[in-house]
Order: sequence, then structure tokens, then C-alpha cells
Amino acid sequence: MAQILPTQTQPARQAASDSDSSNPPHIEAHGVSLDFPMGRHATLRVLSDIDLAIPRGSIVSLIGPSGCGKSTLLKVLAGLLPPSSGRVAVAGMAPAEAARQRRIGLVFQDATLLPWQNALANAGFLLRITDRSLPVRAVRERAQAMLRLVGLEGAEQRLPSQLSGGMRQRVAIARALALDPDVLLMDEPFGALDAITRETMGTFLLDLWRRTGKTILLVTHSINEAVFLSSEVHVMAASPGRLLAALSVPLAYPRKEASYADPAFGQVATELRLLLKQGHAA
Amino acid sequence: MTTGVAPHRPGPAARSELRRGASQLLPPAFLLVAVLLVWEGVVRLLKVSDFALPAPSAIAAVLIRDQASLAENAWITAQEVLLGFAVSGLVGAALALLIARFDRLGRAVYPLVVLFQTVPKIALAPLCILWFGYGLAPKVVLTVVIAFFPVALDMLSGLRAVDPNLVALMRSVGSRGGEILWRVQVPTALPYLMSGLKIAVTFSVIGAIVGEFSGAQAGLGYIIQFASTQLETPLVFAALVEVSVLGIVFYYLVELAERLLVPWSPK
Amino acid sequence: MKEIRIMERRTMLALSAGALAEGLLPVRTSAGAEPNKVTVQLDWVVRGDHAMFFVARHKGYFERNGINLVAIRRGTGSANALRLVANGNAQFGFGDLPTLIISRTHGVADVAIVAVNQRSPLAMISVAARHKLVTPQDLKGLTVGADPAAGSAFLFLKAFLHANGMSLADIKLRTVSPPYENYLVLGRVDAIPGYIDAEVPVLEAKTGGPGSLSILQGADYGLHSYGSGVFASETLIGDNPDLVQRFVRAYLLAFRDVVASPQEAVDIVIAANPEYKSQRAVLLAQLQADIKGTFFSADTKSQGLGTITATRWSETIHMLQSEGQLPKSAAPKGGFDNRFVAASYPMGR
Repeated sequence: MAQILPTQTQPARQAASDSDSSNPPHIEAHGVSLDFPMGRHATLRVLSDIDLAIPRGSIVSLIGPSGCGKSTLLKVLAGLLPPSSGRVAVAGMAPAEAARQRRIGLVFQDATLLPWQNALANAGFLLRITDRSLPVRAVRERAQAMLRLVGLEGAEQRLPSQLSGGMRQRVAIARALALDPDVLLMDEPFGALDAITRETMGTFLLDLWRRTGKTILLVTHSINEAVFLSSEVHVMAASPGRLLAALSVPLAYPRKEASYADPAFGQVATELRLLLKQGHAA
Repeated sequence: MTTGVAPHRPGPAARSELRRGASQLLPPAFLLVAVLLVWEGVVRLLKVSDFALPAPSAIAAVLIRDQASLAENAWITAQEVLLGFAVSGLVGAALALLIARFDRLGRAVYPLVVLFQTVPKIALAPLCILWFGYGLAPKVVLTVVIAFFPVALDMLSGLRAVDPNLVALMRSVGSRGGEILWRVQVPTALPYLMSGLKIAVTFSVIGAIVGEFSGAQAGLGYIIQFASTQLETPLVFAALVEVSVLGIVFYYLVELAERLLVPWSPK
Repeated sequence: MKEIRIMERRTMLALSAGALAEGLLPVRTSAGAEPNKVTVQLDWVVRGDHAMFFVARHKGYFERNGINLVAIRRGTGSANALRLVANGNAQFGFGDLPTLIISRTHGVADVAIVAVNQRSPLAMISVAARHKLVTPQDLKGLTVGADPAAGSAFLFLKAFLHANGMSLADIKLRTVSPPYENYLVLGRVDAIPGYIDAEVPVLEAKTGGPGSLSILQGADYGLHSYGSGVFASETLIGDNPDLVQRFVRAYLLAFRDVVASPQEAVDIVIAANPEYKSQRAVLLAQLQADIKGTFFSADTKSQGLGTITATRWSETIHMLQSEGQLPKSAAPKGGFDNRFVAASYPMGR
């Protein structure tokens, strides 16, 4: 089993639980709105009054129709976009600061690997540019460890063009994890993969989460994926982007393929579907 | 059953490699031979004068007769091409880097570059001679003004082709513009740069020849001009053949460089 | 003029050569002085009347006169050659003297120091088998190819027509780009203006040899002007007249040799320009056309090859003025300096 070289100590993984006063939310948003300027006088309200509280060590999904602003919300939470109003906190601080402290890991739908570097170099890329004092050997060892963690041991020398879509995504995850963030924000990470690979990657992500105990927020448009992976699913509606509801998923971890057949799965899925339709119509 | 030793045949892998190489070279070779045969036939049948349109056989005769002189002049033109190409590559790349890195400068410079591109460079040739004399300089200058643009344009596309998510990611962990430029944008732009360089090298050949037309003491362009004034059309064609060969050789050298330097380039 | 050419040519030749051989001062360079580095700018690609430069270099005349001839550069027209010499890109040049006069009015400060063509070598040329030209009037109605944008040839065409009572309206002008000869050989045009010491031998090689062309030389039909010659910038003449003197002296020594043995001169030119190996006959014919038709005059007989006189210079100016190439009001000042030629023949008569 891979040895993770932590730069911060990790708490033991908790069973997914709602936040309470003794366990402050790891990611939170209060009344967050975002307006985009359109021309000289008009603005477009892209996000409207979002309230969000994600407990530490949980794995949570954000689902909604295309264009509802879920990627935008993720960017706000990651500190890439400042909100027009409201407050955001990640690990108790402003998200931009959290990012600078390498507490936030980001994974996108496109793995955005550097095509001229092999898997090992890609995995260590962010580490290399954020900590220039780190000797080459240490970076390489950490990158190797991360690749082992995502199950790509042996593929270190391969170029991205020689890796499958799922493998590339795993390298992207390894790259994010190399910084040892508290939080992993993922924007439709498996959206470009075929159905079976998608399910495999879902299982892989759960396993990773179990082993590392990170807080994970996943944006997806797949109902099945949202229900299977998360302890809580937040549903968004479009125009303007707003949260409709948060559904909790009463399925125990670890979840396996059998979980798909659990009646609770179907119930939550159906409810989600209704909410989404509502969001579409609204 | 025949007795005797069977001839050694190449193994199946080598044979398929040969077959692939052959299938790439044979069609254009056949076409070329066919064109030459038709050309020779037409010239002979219609008794076209040597001076108006020489037959391939006449051109070949000149290529052999003047091979030393042609080779010497080809080498001179080749040097002009190489120098002009190198400088235009550097200028083009530097311009692209400036425009990509410094947004305001880029917005000021780019339209001017495009405007300059529409000026027919051939008109500048005599001016280059006047300003820089008859040496190597005017040809290099002319080549650079012709060939820098595709390099700049293609490389700029490449510099801008970086995934904005990646750039955002790097910025979020504290990377600055310069680091993003050199670590990510420049390597991303390399395949694009090679495309631009392939175009630039053919333009460089044109630039060198045009420069020589406007006043040269040696080189294939000078030979073409000299042969024209002496009404030696077979020599004109012979020099043109050598110019084409020069162009092809340089083009494939750049392709070779591309394969070596940018092995991840999408094919 | 025609009479002189035919009857007295040999006499004149012998006289001039003799005069030169005796008259030219021996070489004198200041002992131990560093030789001057010099570049010569020609007006076009190498042809017969450029031979003097190559011969002078080959036989060491320049060296003996303290001159290191670094390069003899081919050119792209007299106008460019004049500009380059005036700018200092080259110290001496060879080109069309009427063009020099016109350029002077545009601020190109060059001065003619040797008049090589005493008569203009420009002529109207046609392929004899198609259109025989016996008198200038035979040009009427013919298609003539010339490039209005390209200086001297077009000017000559207009001057020739004008001097013989015709105008551009009498011919059909077709714009062509140089080299014009292609159009003539292919029959696209009936006649072209050209040089007897440049295009004519080249054309004759393609149209069937000497005699295959009809030639009307302008100098025989009312056009009196100098042709080409050697020139230098006013600056150089002012700053270093000694260098100019030595250069002219070496040049004239070679001029004597070229006229005496044109075959040897051609061989020297080919040795310096190997791409002309196959053009030997053409080079020789170009040179012989000049020896026969432009190098000699009454002035050279009395004062030596290359002499420039005020009278002939005025004639040249007058011709340009009557063609509207120069303002009639302002008579251009200066433009030639015969000192250097004169000083090379101290026994001048």
C-alpha cells in the first residue's frame, strides 16, 4: 500500500455525516452571487444566492442541467473567480488563499496534461512549480507514490498520447494529489469517458477517497454517478444558477455494484430526476 | 524439384517496410516521368525552339555540362536561404512571444504586422539593394520580411492554444505570466512553430532568389538572370530545377527536425 | 561619320594605339603607400565593353598603380549603378552617360571621367528576314517593343523617331519587360531598341548569325550623344583626385590592350567569369561591334581613347533637352572631367 508523504496530518476518515457545530464545514458558501457584465450597462446574474456547507472528509456531488453554472460555482469555490457578493470559505479561509496554500486540488473534464512530458513528469508538475526548493529526487519520489496511489505503477514513462482517457484522468488526479490538498474539486472528471470506464473510475474514486480521507466535491451531470459516489447531492437549476435542494443518500459505504440495485438508490435517483426536471422547466 | 541454392530473400518485416516506402515514392515518380516524356515528345513533334521551351533532354544536358558552376552557385543561394531562414525564424518566434506575453503591446503590434504583410515584398527588393548594397544583407533582409510572418502567426496560435483551465490552475497556485509562458505555452507552441517553419523555409528560398534577381553577383537567381540576358533558356530551366531541389531538401530537413524535436506532435 | 568608320578605321586604330603606347606615362606610386581598396560597379551583367576592368586587373595595371581592385560588381541598370557610386557603395562605376546627366539633376552627384562609347551604341533592331530596315521610315506601322518604365531604351526610341521626323504615333508600341530580345526572336514584336554591343550579338546567335538582323544605329541617323563610360562621385574626385588619376591611367592602359587584342581580352573576361565559358563568341562579337562602331572618333584620334570634350557633351545634353528629358532652361553644369584622361596622355595634341 502506498506510503503517502503528508505535509499536513490527515484526520482518520469519518463516515459521511452532516456538519454540526463541533465539525465546521470544510467548504462553505453563504449568499454567494456572481454577475457577469454584459456590454456597458447590463449584467447577467450567473449565480444567485448560493448557500452551501460541505462537511470535512465527505464526498459530495453537484448536479444540474447544462449551463446552470455548476462549473462556475466550482471555480468560485476554487478561488479562480471572485463572487460579486456573499462569502466563501475553504478550510476556514478565502479560497484564493487556500489555493495558494495548496489546500485545493483541481481536476477538470479534460485532463490537461502536458503532451511532451511523461506520466511521471506530469504527476509532479504542480509540485515542481510551487515548491522550487524541493530537490528533483523528492519530486520524483512523490510523483511515483501518487501514480502508485492511482494504480498507474508501471506507466510512468508513457506519454499522454500513449495513455487511455481513463489513465490520463488518473494522472491528472495524481497531479492534484501530489500537493497533498485538503480538498479535491472535480469538474465532470469522467465526462469524457465511456460508460464502463466511467463506472470503473467511479469505483476507483471511492477507493481513493477511502484511503486518503480528502473532502471531495464533484460536479457531474450523471444522476447515477452522483448517487453512487456521494453522501449528499446538491441540485442546481439554471437562469439564474441557484441551488434547488440537497438530497442526502442513505447508502452505507463502502458501496459496490450491488448498491445500484438497492431500493434506496432508485428512490434517490427518482427524486433527483424530478428535481432536475423542475430545474429545467424553471 | 529444382536443385541448387535458393536466393536469400529479405525477411517479411523488411519487405513490408520496403513496400511502404515504395508505395510512397512510386506514384509521384511515375507521374514525373510521364510528364517529362510528354514534354519531350511535344517539343520534338512541334519543333519548338530551344529558346522558347527547351526539351527535358536539353535541360539535362545543361545540368551535366554546367554542373560545377551550378553547384557553386547553388551553394551560395543555399547559404542565403539558411541565414535568412534562421533569422526569420528567430524574428517570427520573438514577435509571437512578445505579442503573447505582453497583451497591450500585442494589441498594438499585431494589426501593424498584418498590414505590413499585405505589402508586396518584391517591390521592396530594389530598395533593399539600395540600402544594403549587393552583398548578403539585402537577400537576408528580403527573406526575413517575407518569411517571418507565417512563423509568427503559427507560433502565436500555438502559444494561445493552451487549455485555459490549465493556465487558471497554474495561476491559482501562484504561477506568474513568465513561468506559464516558458513552462507551458512555449512547449505547446512548438508543433505549431514547426508548421510555420516549414512554410518559412520555402518562402526563404523565394526570398533569396528574388533578392538575387534584384542584383546579385552569384547564386542561382543570378544564373537565371544571366541566362535570360543571354537567351540561354535551357540554363534558366536548369537553374530552376536546382532551385526546386534546394527547396525540397530544405523542406524535408525541417520536417526531420520536427520529428526529432517535437516527437509528440500530432501527425 | 560613316565614312570615317569604314575608310579610316584601320588608320585611326593604328594611330591611336601608337599614340597610347608612346604617350601613356609610366606607372608611379608613392613608395610604401598602402594600396587603395576599390570597388567597381557595372551597369548590367558582364559584356564586351566591360573588358577593360578585367584586363587591367588581370595584367596588374591596377596593382602597379597602387590600387587593390576588390570587386567588379554586376549591376541592375545604369541608374542604380550611378546611385551606388554616388552613395559611396563603390568608388567607380560604368554606365550610360546620358543617364548620368539626368541623374545629376536629381541630386546624384557623379562625374564622367572616361567616355568609352564615343557614339551611342543604341540602335533599332529587327529580324531582317521578317522586316528589313533600310531607312528609319521603314519603322512606320511596325510593332515596337519597349518598356516605358525602363529608362534609356525607351528614351532612345522616342529620340530616334523624333530625329527622323516621326513620333510614337507612327509605330505600334507594345510594352515589354526586359530582356526585350525574347519578344523579337519569338516574333511577338517587329523591332526593338537595343545595343549593338550587347543584345545584337546575343540575338544574332539565335536568329541565324551575323547579318540576320537589320540594324539602324542611332548615331548614324541624327542622334549625337555619348554612350557609356566610367564615372566616379564628385566626393571622390574632390577628396582623392590622385586615386582617380591612377585608376584612369590603369584603365586606359587596359583599353589600349583590349582594342589591340580583343581575343585576349575576351579570354581574360571568361577566366574571371566562368559562367561565360559558352558565351565566348558573343562576348567577342560585342567587343568587336564597339571597336568598329563606338570606341573611336575624331576626338580619340587627336586626344586618345576615352576623351570627353565639351562639344560632344553639349551635344549629348542638347539631345536630352530636345527629348524633354532635361529642362531647356537650366543648362546642367559640369558632369564630366577630362583632366584624368588628358593627364594620361601628356603628349596630347
